Amino acid sequence: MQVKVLAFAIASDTLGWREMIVNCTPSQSPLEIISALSPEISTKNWRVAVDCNYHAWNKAIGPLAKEIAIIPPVSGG
Amino acid sequence: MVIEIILTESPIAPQPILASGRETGAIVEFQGFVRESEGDVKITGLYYDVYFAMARSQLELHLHELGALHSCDAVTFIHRIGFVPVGSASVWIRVMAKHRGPAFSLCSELLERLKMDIPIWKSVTPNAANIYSQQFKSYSQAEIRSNMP
Repeated sequence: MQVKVLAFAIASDTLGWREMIVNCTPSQSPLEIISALSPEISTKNWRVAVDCNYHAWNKAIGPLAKEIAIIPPVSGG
Repeated sequence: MVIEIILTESPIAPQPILASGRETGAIVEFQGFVRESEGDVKITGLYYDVYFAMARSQLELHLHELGALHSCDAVTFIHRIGFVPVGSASVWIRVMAKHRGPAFSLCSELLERLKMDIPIWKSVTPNAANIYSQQFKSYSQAEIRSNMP
């Protein structure tokens, strides 16, 4: 399966990209998918969302996942 | 509770009060402005980046929860995206209710949740906003609105 991976704010600056399409399996977790893209990256203090819902870094994305987003600490307002 | 969410590149303009009804006893409005300093650095403005789809869905989720906790009639939430110059409003909220207590509480808690969960980021550098701006225009909409009954 393919999913779109989005990186925002400092995550985008750190990774050097904003959006990427990746091949993965439903049993993979966001952490495994991101680590495969950037093995050196630290996701500490960052959250992750799958299809616009916050998700655990080490939980499988499942077969219906379309979009993963890396969410650094938010600062709206 | 009637919910209106607007994420816009345009300057925030006060929204007309729609059909407040004769049972509305309190209207609480909040505006957040961009200050001229971030820490020790003088700035001309802030750049706001957003994950549109999730910001909208998370705002809807939180407003439904807050509406169940506080008896309010309507909420309008506006957040400006892209470059916001110093002295301009970046966020604007109006809560309408029968009584002031729930209106103040909902407004205050919404702001707390905005700063915890809503995927919007401010930056003093334009990098993110430039990328954002290109993506924003691909939506071919000046504003993203969400109205819920």
